[in-house]
Amino acid sequence: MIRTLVYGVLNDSEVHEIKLNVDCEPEIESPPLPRYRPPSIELICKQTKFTRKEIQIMYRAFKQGCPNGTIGLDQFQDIYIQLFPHGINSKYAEYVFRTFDSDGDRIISFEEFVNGLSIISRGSVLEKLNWIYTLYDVDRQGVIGHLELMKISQSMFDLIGNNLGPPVSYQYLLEHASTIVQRMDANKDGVITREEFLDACTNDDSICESLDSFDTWF
Amino acid sequence: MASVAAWLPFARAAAIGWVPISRQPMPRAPVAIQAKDLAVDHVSDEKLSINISGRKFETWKNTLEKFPETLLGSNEKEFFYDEETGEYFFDRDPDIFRHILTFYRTGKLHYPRHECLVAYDEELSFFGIMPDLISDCCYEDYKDKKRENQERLIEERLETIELKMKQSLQEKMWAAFENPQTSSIALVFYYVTGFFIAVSVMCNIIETIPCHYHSDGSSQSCGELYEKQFFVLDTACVIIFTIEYLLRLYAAPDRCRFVRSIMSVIDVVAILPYYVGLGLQNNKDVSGAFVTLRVFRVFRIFKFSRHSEGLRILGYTLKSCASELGFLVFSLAMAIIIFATIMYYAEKKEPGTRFTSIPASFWYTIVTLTTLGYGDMTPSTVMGKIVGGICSLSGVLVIALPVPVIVSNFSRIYHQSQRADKRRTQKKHRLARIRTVKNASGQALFNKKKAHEQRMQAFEEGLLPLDALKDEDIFEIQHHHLLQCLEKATEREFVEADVAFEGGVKSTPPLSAASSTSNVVRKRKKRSGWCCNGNEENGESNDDEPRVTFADGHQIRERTPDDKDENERLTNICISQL
Repeated sequence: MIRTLVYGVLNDSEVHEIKLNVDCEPEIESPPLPRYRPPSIELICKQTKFTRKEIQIMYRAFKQGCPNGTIGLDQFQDIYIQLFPHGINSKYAEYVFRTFDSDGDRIISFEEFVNGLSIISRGSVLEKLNWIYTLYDVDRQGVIGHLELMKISQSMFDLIGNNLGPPVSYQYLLEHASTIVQRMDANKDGVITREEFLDACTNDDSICESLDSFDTWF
Repeated sequence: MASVAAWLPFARAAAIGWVPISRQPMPRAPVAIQAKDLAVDHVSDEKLSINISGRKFETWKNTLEKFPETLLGSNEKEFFYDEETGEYFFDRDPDIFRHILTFYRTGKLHYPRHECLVAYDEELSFFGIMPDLISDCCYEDYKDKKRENQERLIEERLETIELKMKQSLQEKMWAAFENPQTSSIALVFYYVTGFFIAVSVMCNIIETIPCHYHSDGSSQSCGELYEKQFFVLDTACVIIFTIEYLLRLYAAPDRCRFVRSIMSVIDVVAILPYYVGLGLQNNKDVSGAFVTLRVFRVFRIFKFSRHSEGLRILGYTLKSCASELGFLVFSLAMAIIIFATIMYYAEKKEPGTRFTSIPASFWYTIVTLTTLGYGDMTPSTVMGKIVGGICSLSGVLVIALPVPVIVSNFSRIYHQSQRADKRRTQKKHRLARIRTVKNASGQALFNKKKAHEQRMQAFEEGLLPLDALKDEDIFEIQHHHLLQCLEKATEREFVEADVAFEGGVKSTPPLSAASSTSNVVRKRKKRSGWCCNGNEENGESNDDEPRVTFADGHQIRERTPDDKDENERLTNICISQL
């Protein structure tokens, strides 16, 4: 009480230098997100595989949700929380965010967004697999190890939430990751390189088929 | 707040990340999505026209579909569709509708201050929007106005009720006691008790005035002179008070709470000395104690607080800013002790000094600090005088400065804490209400999903034509397909929202292998199995081994003897990074 009383007095008199064993931390305003304008529609049309109309629709939705032209991680995570109501956190959203954010500045501009979307929804099988590889490579080391596969699996299980069962055990994830590594690791060095990944996946028909099931039209 | 529907294609596309690590192949996209002509119908470029009493509003169709539990977001708006003009017509207030449409556009509901609260509430309830969704910037305002409105309503209702309802005698008496304006009898009672309290207090005072002066200079108080008369008056007062107390006790709706309340304690303390005195009158030994008891008769003056609203508020505010007053007393005590100590040590050597001990110096310090200055104790040494001077000067600061600061502060803090508490409880209730509505829609989502799956099944078996699917919401189809893919990838199935896994996060798994398999089997029959349907071996190993959970990093995993080092390293890394 004494603390709040003194703090109140200090606040009123606006003397911030005096500190009497009080934790008065001045509130730090988060810097406003930068305003961003995307390049022209023609340019985006050329760079991506979307039609003009589709780009228009996408940009309207994008701008409506993020008025200053860029989207941050929290909004990404919000979207995932809304679409997967039982999910407990949106770690998957974070991985996707990082994969979309090609210049690593922690915000996704519309250009990055539409480029990424073009790859994963309209790209060839090889392009999609490349994108998936970048997604899995969480620590950006160029190879995928057990740890990263387990993290991605964990985030997937988190999306479905804990209401339907106990949290998946470490052992289960480790085993699952080992199976995958065994399947894909051609030279048996314990990690999967990009070539090994692409090879293994293109030779697996079920994976190629499943990739197609997510196509969407606007 | 982004419209979920607009982001669904992105979420679906990003879901290709599940494909390589899923254990089962993904279900194919439903035909409805693949049939592009169906998709074209639901393109997100469609505009709607809404006519509110002549003023036209236009918006995208999926702007309205953001909130499916409201009128405009659901099929309910079809009732208002006007085929001739191709627009939706509502005969409502167009000014308020502007705010409602902004709610759909931005996800924030604002309350305009110039609008009447009742009208606004009506519009909100017409369009099916909960007032709890009002955003924080306008919520305080809304709640304040709502409270004023409710107080007005309650007063109106009270007046009508009292005219209409037949209250029982008890209730009527209690209402009469609490609110003297209700009936003339209550008013009479109010004034009579007030009069007798005043009489009793005056008697107490006059009793002690010397009435008669003896020849030898001593005086006799009126109480001793007119003992009988005063006794009669006292008895009358006590009788009235006793009757009043008993009546209140009878009328009280909750007797235990009434007996414990402050006012009833004061009542009891006011009349008890008289009865005790009656009992003790014969015994002259304890007459001294009896005299002391008469002191408590002064508490009768507190009975006036029932008659005065202001007194009650004062008492309440004193009680509520007790901590601020405590601070004042504490700082005063510090100053007193410091100065008294210095004064004592400065003056103790002086012969004939009155500063015989530190507690004796307390009196001097208090009198000086509060600038009273009786002069019964004064310092004689130079040092003492200097200290005394400093004491008087700082007395002004110590007394005068904290008081206005504290007074203004406690009023501010008092109001603030009231508001903060109010806001906190309001927020809790708000969120609870919003959650129930959302849960209802979550349950609706699950039901729709099941119905949708059945229809899809029927379509694929050829029972339903493609046209029947035209009514399906393309967003719903896509969303359900996405959830299905997630189910397949994780090998779990969505069940009803209220049938949650009983074990919870921290449950210990059953240790015996037999019971674990039977558990798994039993669960599979009751509801779709929770884990590892495909792989029995994994199911058993999950149940047998003690597990570490990433969700709760505090659990420690027992290490198996093989691969100890690698697992240990991985465990440590996992827990620290996740």
